[in-house]
Amino acid sequence: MNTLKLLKNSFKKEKEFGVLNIFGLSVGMVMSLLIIWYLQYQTSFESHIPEAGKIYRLISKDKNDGKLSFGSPLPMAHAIQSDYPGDGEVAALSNTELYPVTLGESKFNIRASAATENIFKLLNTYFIVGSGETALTEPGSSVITQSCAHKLFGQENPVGQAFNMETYLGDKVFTVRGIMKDPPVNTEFQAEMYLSWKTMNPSDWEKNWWWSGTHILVKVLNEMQKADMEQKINTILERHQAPYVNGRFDYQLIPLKDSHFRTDIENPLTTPVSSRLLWILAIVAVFIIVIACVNFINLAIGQSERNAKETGICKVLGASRSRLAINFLIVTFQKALIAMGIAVMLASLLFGQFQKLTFMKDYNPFLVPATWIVLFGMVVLSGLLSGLYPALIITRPNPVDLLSNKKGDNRSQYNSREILVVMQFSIAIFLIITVLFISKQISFMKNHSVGFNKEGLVAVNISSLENPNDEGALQRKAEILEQEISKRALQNGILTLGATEGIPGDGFRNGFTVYNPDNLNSYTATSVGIDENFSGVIELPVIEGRNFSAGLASDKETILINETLKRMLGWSSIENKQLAIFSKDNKVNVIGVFKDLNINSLNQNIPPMIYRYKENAYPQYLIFRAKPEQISSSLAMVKREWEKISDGKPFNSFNVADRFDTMYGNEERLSKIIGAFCLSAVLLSCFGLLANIAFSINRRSKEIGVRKVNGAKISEIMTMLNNDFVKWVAIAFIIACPIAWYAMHKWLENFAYKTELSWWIFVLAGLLALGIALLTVSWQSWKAATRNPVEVLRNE
Amino acid sequence: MIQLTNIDKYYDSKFQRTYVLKDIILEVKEGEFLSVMGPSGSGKSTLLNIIGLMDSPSSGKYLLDGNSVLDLKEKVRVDYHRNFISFIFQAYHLIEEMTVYENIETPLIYKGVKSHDRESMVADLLDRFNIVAKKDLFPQQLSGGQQQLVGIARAIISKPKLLLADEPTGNLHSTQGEMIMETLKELNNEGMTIIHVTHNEKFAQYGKRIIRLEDGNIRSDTNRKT
Repeated sequence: MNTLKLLKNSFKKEKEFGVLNIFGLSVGMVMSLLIIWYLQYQTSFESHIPEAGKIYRLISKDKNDGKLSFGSPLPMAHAIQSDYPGDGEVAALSNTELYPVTLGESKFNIRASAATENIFKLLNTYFIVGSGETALTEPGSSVITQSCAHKLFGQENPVGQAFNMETYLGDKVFTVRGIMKDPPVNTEFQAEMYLSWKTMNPSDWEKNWWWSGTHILVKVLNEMQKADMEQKINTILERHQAPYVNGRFDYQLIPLKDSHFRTDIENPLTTPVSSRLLWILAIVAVFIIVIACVNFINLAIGQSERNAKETGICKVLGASRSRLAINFLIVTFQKALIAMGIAVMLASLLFGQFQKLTFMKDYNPFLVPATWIVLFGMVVLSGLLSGLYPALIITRPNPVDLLSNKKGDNRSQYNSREILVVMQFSIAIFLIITVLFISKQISFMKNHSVGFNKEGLVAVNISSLENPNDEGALQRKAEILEQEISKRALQNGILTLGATEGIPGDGFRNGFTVYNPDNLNSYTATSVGIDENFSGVIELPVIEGRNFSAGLASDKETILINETLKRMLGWSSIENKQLAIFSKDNKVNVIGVFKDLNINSLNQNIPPMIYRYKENAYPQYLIFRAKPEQISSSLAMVKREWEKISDGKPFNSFNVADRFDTMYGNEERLSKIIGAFCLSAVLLSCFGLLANIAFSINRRSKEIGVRKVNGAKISEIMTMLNNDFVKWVAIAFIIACPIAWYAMHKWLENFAYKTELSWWIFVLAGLLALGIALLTVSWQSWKAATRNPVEVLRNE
Repeated sequence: MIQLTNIDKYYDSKFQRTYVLKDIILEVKEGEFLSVMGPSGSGKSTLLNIIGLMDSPSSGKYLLDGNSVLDLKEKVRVDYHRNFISFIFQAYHLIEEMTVYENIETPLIYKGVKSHDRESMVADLLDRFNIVAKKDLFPQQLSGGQQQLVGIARAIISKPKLLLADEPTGNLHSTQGEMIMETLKELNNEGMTIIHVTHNEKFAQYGKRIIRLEDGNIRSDTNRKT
């Protein structure tokens, strides 16, 4: 009762400052809570697997270009296992992808992977029905999670039930042989369904060394075995005389727990997170909580001077120093607790947005004990930090000094406040600059020329026309579709139409080794199959030689290259030049050079490329350019034609320009995250400023009154009060600029194409910070300047 | 110069209206030296604040120099403070971070007087009050009487017509108080109108006219023959 009264009194005295003070602490707590949750989530991956430390993942390194990838050849797992009969466990699984499942009348899309049966033993999967050792051994068997069972079969017993699935190898029938517990959210293995390895792969899979999309996991007994295994794996390609890939890759084993942080390895199971980002966030979290606490202290001191008289009276009336200090601490702790309450509420409100932004899946941080430990830790820390210091300071002076209103010598205190404000504003200005730059880089990349005209381009995925039981179906049907569309092109606004294996912006996945027959230097070149119309459709000019020609049968075995590859080969002209692809003997003629074009985001340089004729590489897409106003009508027409020949396969199309823009999702996410921190840093800095201005106004209230009765205008008083703060922001600006410049310079190194570090962004950020600071300060200084001097100049 | 007609000042609380000043009618002519006396809480300071445009009455009329000065705009009010009215206080209210010289100079800066002119004006006053030697000291380093002298110097440097003094001797012992009152008397002889609030009978006698306030009313108004 008594303690609540203390709190009530303190609010009465401090008015809006009490509220602000608590709110400031809440903001700090919310931001650090969100960050801590994020860190906790990211670092807890795979921690549910008991012997995770003994599990490794196999990665490959392309000797030509140094690229790392999780993908290994199909027969690799088998080959490793046969080197270690008896001990060591090896499991292989494919990428987790969405597969269409038909069950009677109903259709579902299920996230599934093909896997060897050891996978369950390795991942320590808990089976509700069936056993991990036998569930996947039979061809046609499948294992599903609890919630997947519920989705597919409802209340029925799923075990033994059969369902139909569309795979790369045509439609297949699978039978459910086991039900496992749903995977936790913090694991990279998120498949709802595992499918029999044999059924999901072609019958000759043991010879398919060129297919390198398999993830391989091994569990070793000890470090020694790991080293031994790594060495043996590196001899496998040679021992098995693996076609196409022999001699191209080096292999390494990396700990399973690390794989979630390896952003440098291609083909991950789920999106990895950079450990550097996690470190930065951790530092930011510490910064934010410290700044919030120091603000809290500052505001408290600013207010305490106001309360000094009361403290003096209490002392005169016989209150002991410890009594006063304890009262003060009680009040601050109550405030910190209130701040925590608000923080928890705010954090749970914001958490949904934050989850989306950071790709955290259904993670419930309130169920994690660490959350509450951290929360109460913050209350104790901020309560003690913010309470103890003022409690000691206020209660120290003699009551006479307090009563006589002497302010004492607070010069050193004043300095530390200045430093704090400067620090806060440096961080705020730094973050403002960062956000502005990232946005600038994103818009630069979106608007930068990519070497072809992407406006009005639409791609239609035709790969589902392929039918393993009907060889050549794709080619035949694609041709029919193309002819039918061409017939109706004019009245539907379609300007040009072509076929291609890949669409720029959608990722080109085929990398071939290319040899220069003159010196046998090898290069990994991105390969794409196109028809003779492709370059016309996307407006990609041939700068030397000629394009493919439909009339010349000999063109089918020739290639075109891009400028980059020509430059790498060191050729001055392509006249009479040949290249060997796949193997050193398979020489083909080079008939032309295409201008360079960006097939990937502008983060990356243009890779060396070869263009092959469509007969040799299955076209996966039709691509056409339509008049902008007729895009939807042309799409509708193409869809109608598709439905005539596709046997009910879904129609799948996308706008090429849009697809290009989605590649910058990472950067946009980053800018949003930093934007959120920027906002809170600015908010916190404003609280810091408020604390300071309140403090200094408090100290100078008499001076302000005297100046006013001596004829100072309100504007003159405000200028006087605001001047200091303008000076501090200027210092902060000077500190922040070089740091921001360096950081942005480093960040831009990630991009092959970068925007300029323009000076106006720095100026803009500085002006923004100054404006915000002035607004904050003026709110208080206006109040002080318009106050009736009578109030402060009363006889004392 | 000052014409107060039916001035009321009251505060409304929940159930009642508390009058600080009630129906004050007062005229002060140019060149007068008026002492306002009365017990604590009789409304002396409030009256002075209203006259000094630092507070406004709840009702009534106030003509200063022939112009109504109620509900003035900030700009006009500041002009009055710069050129017409000056204050001295019981607690001196010097700016502690500034030297004696700077304290006296402050009103001139607000008035926009040029640096060169300021120098000579401040020097004249320092000389007149015999505190030239103290000009670089800070207020805390002076005795109460000296501080109040600085306060007076600051008040009169802008050559106001009206000087308002709120218990200027309240914090001083009698010798120093007398010195201050002598200074005020001298200023009055030079033509400055002075209104002086005190509850010291002896110092009140320096005034040419004394009014006594009690519970917000003027109880007596006597002209002293000199």
